[in-house]
Amino acid sequence: MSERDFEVALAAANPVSREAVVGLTLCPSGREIGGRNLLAAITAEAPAGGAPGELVSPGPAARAIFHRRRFGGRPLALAGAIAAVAAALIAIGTVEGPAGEPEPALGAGLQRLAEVSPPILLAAPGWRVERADEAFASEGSTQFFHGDESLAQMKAEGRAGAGLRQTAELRWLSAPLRTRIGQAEAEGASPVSVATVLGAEARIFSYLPAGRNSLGAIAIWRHQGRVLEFRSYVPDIATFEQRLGALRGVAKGTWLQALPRSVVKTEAGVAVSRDNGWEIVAPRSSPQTDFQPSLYRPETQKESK
Amino acid sequence: MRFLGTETAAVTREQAEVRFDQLYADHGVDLMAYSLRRSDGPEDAADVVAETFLVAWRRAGEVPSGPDALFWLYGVARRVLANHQRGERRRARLVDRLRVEVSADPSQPATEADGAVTRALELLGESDREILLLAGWEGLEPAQIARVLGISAVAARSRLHRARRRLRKQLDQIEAADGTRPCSALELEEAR
Repeated sequence: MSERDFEVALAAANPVSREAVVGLTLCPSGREIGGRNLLAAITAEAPAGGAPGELVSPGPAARAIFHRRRFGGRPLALAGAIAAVAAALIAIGTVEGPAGEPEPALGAGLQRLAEVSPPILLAAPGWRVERADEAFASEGSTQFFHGDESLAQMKAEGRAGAGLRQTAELRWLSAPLRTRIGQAEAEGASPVSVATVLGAEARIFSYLPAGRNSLGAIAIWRHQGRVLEFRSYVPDIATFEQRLGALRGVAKGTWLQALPRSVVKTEAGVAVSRDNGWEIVAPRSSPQTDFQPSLYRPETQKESK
Repeated sequence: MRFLGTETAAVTREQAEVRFDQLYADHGVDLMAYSLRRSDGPEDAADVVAETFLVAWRRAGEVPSGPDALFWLYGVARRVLANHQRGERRRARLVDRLRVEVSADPSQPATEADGAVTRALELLGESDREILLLAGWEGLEPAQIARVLGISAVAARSRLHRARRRLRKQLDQIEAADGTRPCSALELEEAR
């Protein structure tokens, strides 16, 4: 096969041509609108994520915001993570990484998660925790699934999407309750009922998600000084309320025991387990990066169990 | 290098939003194509695009201006994909915005010959496969690939050469095993 044939064969195996993507309703007319929609969602999603305009605005007040955020807020969060690592290292020592360097170990990422996450589980038959993340400062989520197998397992066996699999997500948020409710309504969710969750009154909203036959449902309430949001796709609101009613506060240790072992994301960094250790999932070229080497080794989590 | 958020002393939020719009308008299609080629379906791809632009917004000051922004976005998307492939995380609300737009799967059905290349690619290591796809599917030059992967242009050229050699070897083995071989450029022309 000639060099040219080789290049052509590789290009021909491309399953998605650029023209096909351009042909989607994403573009060209919808492209700009798509960007605005996405940005609206991002800014609603990440109030603590920092707005570029504010961060680089030159006025003294804006500079103060900049400094609070860059050198006050995040480093405090980071300091918590560093303290967690330090505590873990003092308590249990270090392990050697694949390249021979000592690495933070012992599931310190989990310690960080345990510090900041609400220890709440979906205590209904068949429901398990799939992921737990700290996505932003003061924000994160615990994701649950119902089914015999995790999606990762199904995909590994080439059976992604097979069978009945239900999911739900509990998010903890930094935005005020009123803001979150306003954002839910702005997204097209309509208030449908009120329920008592973990001793507090939750407002329940529903919406029709694109491309699904089921109903999207959201419950928002205040819990121990912060806002919690529970989301799930359900056939009807009664099912959602039943699911919501199964949320239970548990001890930190119980919550930790319920976590999976594949991925840990904290404010200090994102770590993904690999066959030969762990890899930081973040752009590494920038000196301004918020991410720091994270703190996770699946082996040590197993040991800690 | 000029950055999205630091080209001038004063960048208001409104200006940042305009730049984000521009970033999406300039590179949204390419990023969606990149993600679709590496995801299991439009929903996963939309998820990757949404999360990549979320990173772009949060790190606006780090996004290079001009065409380099695309390579930066590819680099982020690559890591987001790796994360997704491990964890299958869904950012439901963000993704719903894109799902509205990406309702059709633009993937083309693979021919038998394409299948041989696909199978050969699957037999390669992740780094070999990615560099070949960046060159063959994204159409990037070694210097551009280097920016995506955060390596030198010399290293990119060298890795690409090695990856091509390994892919050829896999293709030869597949052809020897079941007689399937990729079409030549001439045959492809004739097929059209």
